[in-house]
Amino acid sequence: MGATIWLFVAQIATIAAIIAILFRPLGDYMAHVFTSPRDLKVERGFYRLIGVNPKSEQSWGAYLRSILAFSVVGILLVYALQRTQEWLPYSLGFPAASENLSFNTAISFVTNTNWQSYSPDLTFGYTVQLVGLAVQNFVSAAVGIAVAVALIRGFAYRLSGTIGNFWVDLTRGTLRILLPFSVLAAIILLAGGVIQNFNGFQEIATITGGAQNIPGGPVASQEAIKLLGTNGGGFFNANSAHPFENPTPWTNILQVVLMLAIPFALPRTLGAMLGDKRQGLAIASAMSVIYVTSVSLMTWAELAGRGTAPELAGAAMEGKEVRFGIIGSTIFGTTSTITSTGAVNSMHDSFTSLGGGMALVNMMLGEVAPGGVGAGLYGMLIVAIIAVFLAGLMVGRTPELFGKKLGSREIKLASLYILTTPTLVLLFTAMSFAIPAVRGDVEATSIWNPGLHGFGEVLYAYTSAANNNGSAFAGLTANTPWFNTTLGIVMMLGRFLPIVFVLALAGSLASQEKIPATAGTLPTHRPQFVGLLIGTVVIVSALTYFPVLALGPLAEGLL
Amino acid sequence: MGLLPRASAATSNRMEIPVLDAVFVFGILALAALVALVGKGVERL
Repeated sequence: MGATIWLFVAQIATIAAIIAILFRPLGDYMAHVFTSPRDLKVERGFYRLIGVNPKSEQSWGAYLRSILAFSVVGILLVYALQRTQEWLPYSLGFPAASENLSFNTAISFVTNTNWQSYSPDLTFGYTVQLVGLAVQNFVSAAVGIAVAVALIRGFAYRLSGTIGNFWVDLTRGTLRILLPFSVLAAIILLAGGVIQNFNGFQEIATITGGAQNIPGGPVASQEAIKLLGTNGGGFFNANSAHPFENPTPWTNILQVVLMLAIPFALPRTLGAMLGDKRQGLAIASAMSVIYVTSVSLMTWAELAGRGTAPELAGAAMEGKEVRFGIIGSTIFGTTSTITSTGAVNSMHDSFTSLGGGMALVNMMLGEVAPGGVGAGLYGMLIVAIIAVFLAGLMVGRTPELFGKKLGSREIKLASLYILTTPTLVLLFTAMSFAIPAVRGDVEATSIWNPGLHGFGEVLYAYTSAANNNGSAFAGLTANTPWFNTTLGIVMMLGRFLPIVFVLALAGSLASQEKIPATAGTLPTHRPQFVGLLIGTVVIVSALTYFPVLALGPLAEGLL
Repeated sequence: MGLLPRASAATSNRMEIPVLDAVFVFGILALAALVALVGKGVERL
């Protein structure tokens, strides 16, 4: 046990050191990308092509309409690609996906969720994977970063009716951040043994004289953006548990770093754009404390491994890859669920009840520590608004954040943001069990672990969808009309309704004058505020989700 | 089943309407419209 704990400490320390080294240069670089007045030649060509003036900024309403239009076109395109797959080149002989699966998958990849109700290596050929899904891996991540940057501008601008230009933010985020870093990451992954080819399936003779079909594919290029963009959709069904996606313990650590790099650096971008880098450090500190606490709790739960099988085996190894072990699995599992990635290198459904419960809690915290690319930062800033408001109520101070007053409108928008995801999760989980015909179908077709764990599987599915995570308690058969349709609806509303509230907030803040800090201003760069922020994240989630957790993983763990 | 309409049977030249495709495409547009409507509503807060 002692060696295991040291292994855990060593891996976490390595990851923390790399993230700390990247924090400043990456954060400052992203701030430069979104504030630079210069456009690259290729960018100018793109703007001319779509008829956009990169020098003109948009109101929050126009920014929102641009995001919606861009995303709807993306969804329709990915839907059409899946439905016409049988006629597309490089489809490896796969037929078109069903209507409800196409609906689910199209929304899933455009919303940065990457929930997969299907087995990707046995459902989609290279055209759908590359032209449809991989493209969305880039642009959905860029949309998240764009929304976060728009909110930062809300705090940074004075008396402005605009919050930036979505098309410029989207283009720069894709071309200057995601694309170059993905190429670099793909090359390193290739060196680690991740495959990259267009070989399709190759039949080989095994040493016992049998035959086996070995799948190929452009995996490394997809793997890089899958993690860097906190997307999570695997090329293979086993996702990062597959040796062609994640071959060794060091590629496992690299994958964890890729998931954390941009979300942890974005607070630095916030600080740089606000002109007060201490603010970014405070936000990143709160994220770090929650992350380390969460990964420690999940690791403890898996190492403590209650139950007959784990005790006989000496560890809770069911559903985990031997090459990663418990430590490599819990660090990846925590990172994936707390960053909105949703990739898996072990089967979360096989985790101990409390370990699996931690994966659920990570998502229920709102994925803010550090969260998805962009989504994590704007989620945390919403919590910061709530925290400042609560502190103001307690001590009688007027709530303000980064020099902007938080009035009734701002608090209403923050509250709507906080309420959206839990409403979707609880409503649709309840509907799955409360509507008799649906419950009959869910229990007969989808749930293979009846009882408390089966309830947990359904709760996990909607929590994952509403938070745009994409991981699953994969024992649940979700490729059914009910789950494909309702999870699609939840993913869409769980992504875009919060974006509406964030952009409205950005517009409202940008229109204000900055107010100078006074003796009555709550300092937001000190450890006291970091503690308040962490407390608010935990309390808001605990109050919202504790009853439903008590019905699922908590009850399961106590029995 | 494909997205595009095609002959429903060898004996008929009538084009089959992909009803479920129409339903899901309409659903996507309706969800986007709902989000846009919420955006309009939020302006009045």
